[in-house]
Amino acid sequence: MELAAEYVKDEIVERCLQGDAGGYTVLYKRYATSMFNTTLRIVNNKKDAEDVLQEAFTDAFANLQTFNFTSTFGAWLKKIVINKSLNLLRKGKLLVIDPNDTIIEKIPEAEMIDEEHIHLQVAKIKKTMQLLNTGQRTVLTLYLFEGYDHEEISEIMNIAPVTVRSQYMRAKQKLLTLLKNDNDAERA
Amino acid sequence: MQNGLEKFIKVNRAAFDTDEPSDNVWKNIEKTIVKKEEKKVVQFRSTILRISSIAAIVFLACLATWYFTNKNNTVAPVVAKTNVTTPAQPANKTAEPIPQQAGSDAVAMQAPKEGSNDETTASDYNQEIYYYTKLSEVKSSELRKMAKDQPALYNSFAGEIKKLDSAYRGLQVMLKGNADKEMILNAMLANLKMQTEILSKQLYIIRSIKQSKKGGDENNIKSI
Repeated sequence: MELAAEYVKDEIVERCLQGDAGGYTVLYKRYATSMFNTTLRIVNNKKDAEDVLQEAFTDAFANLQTFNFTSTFGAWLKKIVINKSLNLLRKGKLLVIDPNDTIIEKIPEAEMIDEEHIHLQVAKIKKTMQLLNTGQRTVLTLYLFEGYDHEEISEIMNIAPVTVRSQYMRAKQKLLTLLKNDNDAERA
Repeated sequence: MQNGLEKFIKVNRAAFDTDEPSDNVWKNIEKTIVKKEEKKVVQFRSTILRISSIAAIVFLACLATWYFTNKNNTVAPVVAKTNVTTPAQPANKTAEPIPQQAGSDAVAMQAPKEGSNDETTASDYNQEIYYYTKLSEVKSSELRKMAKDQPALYNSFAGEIKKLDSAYRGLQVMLKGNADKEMILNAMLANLKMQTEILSKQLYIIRSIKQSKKGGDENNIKSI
């Protein structure tokens, strides 16, 4: 796979490698907002998200010579941001996932939430996601927002793929329940 | 198949990234870049300065020799009046002919023993210049092959060699004149040796970087 890896040209990164300090500003401006929102969804507070963002950019810039253009700079940086976010959670013992959580429960039909009838709003989803526990929120974020599949998430989080699946199912069910309750409260 | 929530997030993905980091984040990152840049500039300048000053010394030494040789033509008549023939030439450099003691003036003005010594010297120069030119060619072509991996670095390296090469060409022009041939040939040799040394170092740097990069971007993330 590595042999087939293609060279992804990035003029801004090349500018930085040539010593053009202006290139770093361009890279920060291009990626800061999306990377900040990625870490914020995982660590769940602004102060920690800013620390992760700063550390991720500083380390990425300091190690730019090790970036070998086989992926985009954005994809490379995002992995660094996610790793640092997870490390921060692990440090604070906030990322506790039961490795034995391998049971994908079949949700009773009566409890199934009809997603089509929930009025979905960006702000509401953002707010409700903050109520999920850390493990569920992280899996949900990586799957729904960052586009990683279950296998990739299992590698990133160092948990079994089946645990990823089960955590995702629970997270999604909980999020939909909370959104439905909120919808119902508004209608009442 | 995507359901309501997954589809909604996919369609409205950009609208979720509404939070912005404070300006302090960039200010703190910038401080580390400025420090790094300063360090890099000092290193870069010192390298360029070192190479430029060596090239300048070689050039000035030749200029001084040329001046004194012209002033006191009688000091080194044999070398100064030497005629020029064409020996084996460096392939990639449009090298001017390197003098051999074959001219009639030289033959007339020198003792046979001295003449044979000078002939040996000129032939030695030819051989050495040819050897270093070839060596520098081989290294240059090896470096060019690696240009794809490190285009920025290659350009910067090529610039360094170009400067030395232009000094080499300056010496070739001087060799045509009435300057002290031996001195200029020495300078040309020193220049070529320096070019091959620098090329070797450049190759070593590029190979080291290539080696450290083996394994792809995925593999280096964990160590960051």
